[in-house]
Amino acid sequence: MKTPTTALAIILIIGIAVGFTAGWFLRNYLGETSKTTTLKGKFSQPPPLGKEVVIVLGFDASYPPFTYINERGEAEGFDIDVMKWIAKKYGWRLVFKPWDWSTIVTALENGDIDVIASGMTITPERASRKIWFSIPYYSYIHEIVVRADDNRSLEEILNSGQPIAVQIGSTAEKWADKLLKKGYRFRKLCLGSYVEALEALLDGRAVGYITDSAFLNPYLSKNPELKTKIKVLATLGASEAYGIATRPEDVWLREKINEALSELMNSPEWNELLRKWHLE
Amino acid sequence: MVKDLYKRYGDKAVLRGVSFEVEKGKVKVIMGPSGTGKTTLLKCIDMLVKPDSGKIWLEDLELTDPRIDVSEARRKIGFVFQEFNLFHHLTAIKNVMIGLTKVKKLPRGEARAIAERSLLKVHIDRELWDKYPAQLSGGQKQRVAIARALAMEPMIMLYDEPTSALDPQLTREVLEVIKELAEDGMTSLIVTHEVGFASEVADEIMIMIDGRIVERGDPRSIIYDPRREETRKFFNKIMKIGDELR
Amino acid sequence: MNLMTFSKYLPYIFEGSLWSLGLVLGGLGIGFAIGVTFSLVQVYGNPLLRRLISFYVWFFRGTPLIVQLFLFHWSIFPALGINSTALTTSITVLGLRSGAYQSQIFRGAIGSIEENQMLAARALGMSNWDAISSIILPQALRIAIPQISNEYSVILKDSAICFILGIMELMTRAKYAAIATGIALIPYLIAGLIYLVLTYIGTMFFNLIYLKKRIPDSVEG
Repeated sequence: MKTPTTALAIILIIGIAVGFTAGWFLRNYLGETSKTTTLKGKFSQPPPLGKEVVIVLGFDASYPPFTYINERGEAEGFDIDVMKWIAKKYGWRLVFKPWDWSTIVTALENGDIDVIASGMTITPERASRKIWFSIPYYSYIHEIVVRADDNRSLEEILNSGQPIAVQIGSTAEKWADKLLKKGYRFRKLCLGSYVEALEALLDGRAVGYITDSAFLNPYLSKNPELKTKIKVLATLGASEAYGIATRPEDVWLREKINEALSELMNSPEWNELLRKWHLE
Repeated sequence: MVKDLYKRYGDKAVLRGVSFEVEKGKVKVIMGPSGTGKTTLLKCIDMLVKPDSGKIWLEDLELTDPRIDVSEARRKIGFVFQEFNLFHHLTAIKNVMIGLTKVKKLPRGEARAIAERSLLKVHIDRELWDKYPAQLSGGQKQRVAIARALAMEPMIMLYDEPTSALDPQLTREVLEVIKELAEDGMTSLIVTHEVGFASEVADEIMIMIDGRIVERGDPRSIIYDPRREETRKFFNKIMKIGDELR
Repeated sequence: MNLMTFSKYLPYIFEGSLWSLGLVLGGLGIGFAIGVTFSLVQVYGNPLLRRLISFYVWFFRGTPLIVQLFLFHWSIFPALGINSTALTTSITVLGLRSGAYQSQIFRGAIGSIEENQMLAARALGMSNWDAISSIILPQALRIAIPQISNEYSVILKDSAICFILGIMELMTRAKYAAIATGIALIPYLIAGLIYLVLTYIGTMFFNLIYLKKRIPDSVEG
């Protein structure tokens, strides 16, 4: 036994050491990226020549086929491919950072991530406040989906008092709110992702499901067995579009992304990408 | 030497002007009914409890002087508790060593040698040295506690009812040890209810009642020929309890 | 998508348990250092410090982890000029939080030691610090081991909340695997199993320390 005072000091040091070693280990061996400097307008100007541009791409890994994680733990999806194409064009290094959708905007503002390319709908309130979007790169329409064997009309479903599933924080949830405000009587069931919301419909926890074609169509072509189980009851509003979100100050970055997006969308590669992800 | 010691807890005056002296090499025994401040008196002497007024000297050092380092002074006083108070997490020998290594800052080897000598002096054999307190009998625990105090080479030993938490058959071994130490010339102040033991070991017995020393003298005259009525009553009472036990 | 595709996700999920474990060990370690220090101040320290620590404990035990994570990552650290990564924030906050809980564990353990132990130490001439470090703490730490073991299993489950700062721990990976494959139940069941195994290993570990360090034949040991 060592003398107790030394033992105590050692215990304390071990405690702190364990803490920091664990952190260091995780960072170095498991690839935690260091935070980019939170300087406002980090990408407002072109970077000095010869300096590597590192863009931290934040995305919601629960939104296939736009953004998800493959079995090797890598980011995959349509938006990921788009960003990879852009990065390759300029020689940027991309760092992929899955982030929970509910706080992803705050993460962008605070510099935990630099861009959001994750099937993010361009909405006036988003665009006016904290985040500015690139040009739209994919448009879609919102849909109300029910089970195939449900013969009720749209009015009946919306006034049934029963749950309708949406992804929390999504544009689908906004649509649910809008409908509730109009006086329809149903319960809004918020779930963590589009997939989970769809599962709620399939297993009967919800009678309806608000989604968008951008998610539903490719998901159905990947899971064809679902096609007979559900049906699109109606579409909601006009079509909407996805954009890549950046901080307002990052003018240079946004210009570069827009430039690349226009080029990509006018090239034959664009249609290949859409086909690859069943998005035509 | 203790002079004019006063201590109150709330509105209860526990010590009401106690004065006496324990000369070097002498053994003094304090007796008296329970709840009359004997334990408080011992704790005051070791400055474990601060007296309200009065002074205490250890030879030339005034313990009640607020400027002195009390911890420094305490190591010169050995204290043996009624409930032993061995350190639960240390083996017998480490209980004895810890004061030497922590307080006296002796190297471990030297501390161990002293501890071994102390333990042998209280008749704790080698096979018990690495036992934990919970594995020892009450008598063994108290003897280890005595060894622990002894190892610090105190100028005086204070015993606070060292056998009253023990079964009667275990008190003998402890009293035997205290007696041997006293015979070796260890200055001692003992609080006890053991009349027989007191009469054998004491140079002087002091009777303490209600925070005062009411009577003092050599053992024989105090026990068999007390001058005061309250002393007589006290002895009658404890003798009777002793008879019942037998 | 079928189970075959899902089985390819297993290594990805397993790797998440390393993250969870890292968060837990980090949090537990920092929490231990804070817990021991604060419990001592709470028992022996001056009234002002005691009140400060009571406030600290009240705050960390009284608010959800998720709120603490946001608060530190996006308000407190930036205000202090600390440029903290999500991982650093997560481990630090888990540590601060566990420190609040552990300080109460150790405070209870210190309180359960008889006052006579302190008295005996002082009678030997020990300074307060010597008495605390060589008599009180060694006993308190032993008494606290079962509760620290419990704290480990609590913080293990708490660590799943760190997904909110983009930490890819076990639970988050299970979720992403579930979403990518469209299989809901099995990934979560597997995550649950891994949590059980981690809890078991941790508890065994603490049990081992407990058996090794316990005081033979003592009542509480």
